[in-house]
Amino acid sequence: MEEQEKNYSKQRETAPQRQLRGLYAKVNISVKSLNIIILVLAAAIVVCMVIGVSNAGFIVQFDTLGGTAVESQKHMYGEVIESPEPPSREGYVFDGWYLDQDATRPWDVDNDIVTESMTLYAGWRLR
Amino acid sequence: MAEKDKLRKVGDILLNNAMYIIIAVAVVYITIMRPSFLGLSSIVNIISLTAAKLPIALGIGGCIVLTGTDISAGRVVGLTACISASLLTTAFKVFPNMASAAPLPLVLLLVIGVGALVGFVNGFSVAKFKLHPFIVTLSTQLIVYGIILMYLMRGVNNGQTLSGLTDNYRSFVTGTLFTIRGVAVPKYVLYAVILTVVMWIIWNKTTFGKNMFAVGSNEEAANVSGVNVMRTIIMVFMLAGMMYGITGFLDGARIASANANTGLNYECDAIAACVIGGVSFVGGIGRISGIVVGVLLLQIIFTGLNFLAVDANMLYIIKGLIILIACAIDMRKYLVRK
Amino acid sequence: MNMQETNAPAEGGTQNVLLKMEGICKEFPGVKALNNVSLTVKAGTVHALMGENGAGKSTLMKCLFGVYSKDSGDIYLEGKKVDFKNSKEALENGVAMVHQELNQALKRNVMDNMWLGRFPKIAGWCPLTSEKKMYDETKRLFEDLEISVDPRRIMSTMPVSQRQMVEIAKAVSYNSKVIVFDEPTSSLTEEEVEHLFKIINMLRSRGCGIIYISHKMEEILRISDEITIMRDGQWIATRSAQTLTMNEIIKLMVGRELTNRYPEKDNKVGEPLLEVKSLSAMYSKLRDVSFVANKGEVLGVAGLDGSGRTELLENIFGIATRKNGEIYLHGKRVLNRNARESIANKFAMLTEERRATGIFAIRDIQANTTISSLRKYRYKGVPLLDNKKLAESTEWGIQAMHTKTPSQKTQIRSLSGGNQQKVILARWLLTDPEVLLLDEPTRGIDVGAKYEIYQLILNLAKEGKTVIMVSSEMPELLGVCDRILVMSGGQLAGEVDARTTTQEEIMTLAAKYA
Repeated sequence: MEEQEKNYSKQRETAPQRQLRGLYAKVNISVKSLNIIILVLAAAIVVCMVIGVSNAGFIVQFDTLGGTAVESQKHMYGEVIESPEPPSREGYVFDGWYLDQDATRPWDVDNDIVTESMTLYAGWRLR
Repeated sequence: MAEKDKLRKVGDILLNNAMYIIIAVAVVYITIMRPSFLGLSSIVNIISLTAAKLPIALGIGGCIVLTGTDISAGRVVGLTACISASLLTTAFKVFPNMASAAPLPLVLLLVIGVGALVGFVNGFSVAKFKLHPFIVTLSTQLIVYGIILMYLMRGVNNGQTLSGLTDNYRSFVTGTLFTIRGVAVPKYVLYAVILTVVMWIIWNKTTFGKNMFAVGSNEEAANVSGVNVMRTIIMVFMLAGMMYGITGFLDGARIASANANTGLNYECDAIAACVIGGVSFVGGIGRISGIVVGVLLLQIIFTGLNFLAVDANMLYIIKGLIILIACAIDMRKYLVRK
Repeated sequence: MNMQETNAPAEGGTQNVLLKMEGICKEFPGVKALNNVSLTVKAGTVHALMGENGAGKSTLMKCLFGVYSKDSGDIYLEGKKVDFKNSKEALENGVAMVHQELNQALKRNVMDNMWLGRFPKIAGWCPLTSEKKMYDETKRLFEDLEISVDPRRIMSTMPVSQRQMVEIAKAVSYNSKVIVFDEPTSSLTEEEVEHLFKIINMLRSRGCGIIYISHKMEEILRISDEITIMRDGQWIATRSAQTLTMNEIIKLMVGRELTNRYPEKDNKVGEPLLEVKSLSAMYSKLRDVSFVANKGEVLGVAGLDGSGRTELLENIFGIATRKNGEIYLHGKRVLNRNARESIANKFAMLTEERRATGIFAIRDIQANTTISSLRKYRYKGVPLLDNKKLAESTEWGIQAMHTKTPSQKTQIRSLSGGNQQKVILARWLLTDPEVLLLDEPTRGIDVGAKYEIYQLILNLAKEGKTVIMVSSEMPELLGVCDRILVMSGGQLAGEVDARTTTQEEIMTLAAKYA
């Protein structure tokens, strides 16, 4: 039985034609060069991850929608943002930060944690 | 000689599993840096995100088994999410004349139907006109995007994000299935499990499933063997479309809103997950379990990188590299040594 | 018994040897394709290479051009040892081939094809190609060879004969010393053949060595100086053309003993089962074929390559488009518009290209065995498949065919050709067919496995099934079949009784419309 198995695998290796089909039907590459490609790609992924980790931090931007500018902040995962100086705008009263421009999903500055890069929009009430 | 063979074998194993090795190393690193990564809430989070992305990967898996692909998936999810969100809402912006939200099962059937329709168009063009699936789904992707934009302009909505979903829609999808030590597991995890089982049965236990693998591995031979190649291809794409429809339905409630960008790039994640999970572009090879593992692994690595606060822009680059390396490894497995 | 003769022409002499191939061996898994074959081509001669299909002629040429790597043996070009890695290298060293199937860029014009891969530049430093140089050179060459083709004409607008002339001109333009013609006249009219011969004579007088591969006896006897005959991958004889007659050549080509290579024929021919009436194909040259096949009969189909044998089966089975013609089974008309319908009508077809249209290479034995009969394995009332039934049927297939496989879950691509063929036969038997269409059932299979396949075919006939079998190996047809249809140029050239006919008779019929 074992010998049979051996025979089969031997046959496979000496098969005169390539048997790739599908999307790889036209692939004509040696295993050696494929090995190099895999190693290079693996290295590239690791490098990207290292770069990503060393530049870690999510940028939180503040869009005041016409009010005075507020500086953006950089935070790690799970941190709360530092409460920024409230912006001001002529004819309006500032009423907090929101996730959308329409001011429907409020952001709790003291309790909500940062999980991704994002932009917070100022909510304005007519004075 | 024997030692050389051994060395080559070890090299083979290392290279064929390069992907898993990278992910394992990354997970170990992340856990050391942020022990909470393996905490209960984080694990539940990973599982629910996996569940959310599983159906779409199950659909695309079939297309890849046919040596095709489907890049219209994300937009179909977007369209069906918008349809669900516009009908199951308390603020009727798209249909100002509606008085109350449409019945839940009806909307579910509707979005499945919409998905199946797009799938039919894809499948028919691929099967009948022998167009490459990439081209066909690229055009349907654009068409569907146009439809989404027009749909969102309807009524008084004016292209805005759809929100204000009804409570029973939200609770049907995101309601608590059960809680483990205070961490809630959402209901859509259950739905993903059901869909996985159904797809496993379809792939492994039905004539259609066997025919699908046959067509994927050798279309000519399948035709000679009496397989209805055209019907099989159309059905694979329709089934995929239905999966996108369900994903859209779940995603609308999961994100609590839907807009023109909902579902963007979902197909990339799904294709990457399938290839990592061993669904080969050679055609005729793939397992449901592989797809589940692929989606899970991808989710683990990206949740982990998110934990390390790696910028989203870098994640795109890493995702692209992962697809490339997964393809290279896949190719290596089926390459005959010369 | 080997009938090898040892009258190779005397070495040396007045003519010098251009190409010498010595002791070439090549083995494919399970098949010895070439066994110690030698070939010597002298300058200024036409050397014909003859043999039945599968005798190893094209394998020998592929070894020369580096398409296959030879297992052993040496090739000398003008006394120097060479080992070409690909046909381009061969071409650059003065060994060219005019292919049977022309490999040309049909969308491009004549001179683009002539200069492909070595476009002349305007000047050494300038990377632009010079249309003018290309045109002038091509024109000069064509005048030299008396070819009247505009070098700017698009290839696809020209008839095959002219495209072939371009191919020849290309070979000449490389200053080739050895030119191989592989079945050059198969698509030429008589007039064009005359032109071709004129060119060949011209090349011969210039001192080129020509290897000429063909099936057509008259041509060979007319044009060639020496003839080498091969059979079963072995060198049989090399003789001067003047000393040979057509009958002698045929005898050398087919002269093997038929004892014990075929199982005993004990099937009984019954009443008519299948009737085909004036069948013509839409997209191939098959036309107006009518015949009757009986129950329990093995009906052979003979003919040269391209005579419409395969097309006949494909049209009956409905995987090629019919123009007209009717098929009757048990006296009732069947349509067989596609494979599914044909299977429902109890037809089965084993295709010629096992790798391309037969096996699902990466699927396992079970999937390959059951694909055509999946309906049978459903649970009652539920559209789900029963694994146990699938496994049982596969096991039956393995037992009945004596397939050698480690398990049902083995990928079919790891089996030998003969075992793959048995799996596909089992696939078809599970559909319960009455008419089996077998296209080259023993191609690429070694001798031992061939015997087993013959036995299976005869057993099927004994069970009352009708087997229609296409083969390019005549002894096989004579050994297994009851009657033999001979195809020629897309038409039915005749029908012979396998018991009383001779290979010579079949060969004559096969050349009738060729």
